[in-house]
Amino acid sequence: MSWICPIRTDRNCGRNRGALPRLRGRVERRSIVTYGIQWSKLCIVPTEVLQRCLILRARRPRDLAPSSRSVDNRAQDGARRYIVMSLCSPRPRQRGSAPGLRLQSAFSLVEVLASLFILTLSAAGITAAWRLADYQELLTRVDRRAERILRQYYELQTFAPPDSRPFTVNASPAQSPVTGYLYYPRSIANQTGSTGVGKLIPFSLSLTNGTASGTSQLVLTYTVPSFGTQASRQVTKTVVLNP
Amino acid sequence: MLGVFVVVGAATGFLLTAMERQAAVLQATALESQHEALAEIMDDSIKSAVDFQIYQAAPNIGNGPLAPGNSSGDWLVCVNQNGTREFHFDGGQIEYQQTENGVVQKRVFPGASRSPSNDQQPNGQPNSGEPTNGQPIFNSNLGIVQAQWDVTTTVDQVPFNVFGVPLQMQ
Repeated sequence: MSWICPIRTDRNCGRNRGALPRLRGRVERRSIVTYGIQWSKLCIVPTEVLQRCLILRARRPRDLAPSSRSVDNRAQDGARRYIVMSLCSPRPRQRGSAPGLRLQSAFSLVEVLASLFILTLSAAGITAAWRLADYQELLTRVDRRAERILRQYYELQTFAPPDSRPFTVNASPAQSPVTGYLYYPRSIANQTGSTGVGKLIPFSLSLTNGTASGTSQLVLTYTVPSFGTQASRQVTKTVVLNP
Repeated sequence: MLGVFVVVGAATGFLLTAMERQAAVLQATALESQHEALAEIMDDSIKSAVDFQIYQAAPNIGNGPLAPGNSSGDWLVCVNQNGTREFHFDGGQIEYQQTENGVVQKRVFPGASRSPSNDQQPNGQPNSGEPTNGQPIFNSNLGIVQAQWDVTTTVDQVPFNVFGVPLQMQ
């Protein structure tokens, strides 16, 4: 995965060129060779280490090769060196030439695409959670407002003088229901102002006369807006009036 | 590293925007809940009042009966067996003051405004008179005590209507 491994040239490499570490022990040499091969597979080897490794191999190949290795091992080691150079060193240096002072800072295409993918996923997830929370909050508020309106009209229908009551029980012509809205969202352009509100989620309040005495009830109906795969549904709240 | 920083920064900014919106919704809900509690207090005060008056100016409340008031105004005084409850709308908020046994408790409910959408009577019939914009929030029209005001939250506008019939009017 090359998008997690920005290739960069360290300034110390140019400053310390020629000052290569001396390899005195076999363990130390093995460790350097092993690291070079593993990092080249992952392609996260710093150029400084890789260049040092290559220079060491170019200058003192006999020191790097263990004395007990056979010809086959040396050939295999040479193949590994070729892999290292082909994967992570697009321009192999010539012998004796030190790396120049060069700073590479750029994004690869995979890096940009992966960033956009992660950003898109984050935006989609946050937006979905945001809308769901907003929708649930709206449902809760609308439900409370519906109950409040129903309670207000219950008080009015029960205790107000007959002329002031919104409905007449057992009226011969059908009475028109009381209508209104449960949600008055503020307009986007008037977030800081006081005017400019919309009207959403209409409700209808009517009186249902029962067959028996004392069974009349107020019925409040409103429609919950749809959200995602949930279709809009109608919500009905009733309260039985006292005789 | 820079790419990760850009992605994390953009996601964090988006998340902060969502949280700000959610905070606005919570603030609106809290304000609505406060005024809902005020409406319940007002409804309870009106229904349990043994004496009440509506005033257009600040009343002078003594120990005796309430002075005659008006049919509408921004002051509502309800006297019940526990004490006196005063409601006052000063143009931007509603003040509630409760006096019981000499102990005065005062609460302020901000975000209130006169109801410009008060174009319907409680019985559903539209008002045929002058527009109600700018009318006092308390009135005793139709033989019942009414209080109508709007609460403008950060998200929406919530109308509040309180209809109460005092004991002496039932």
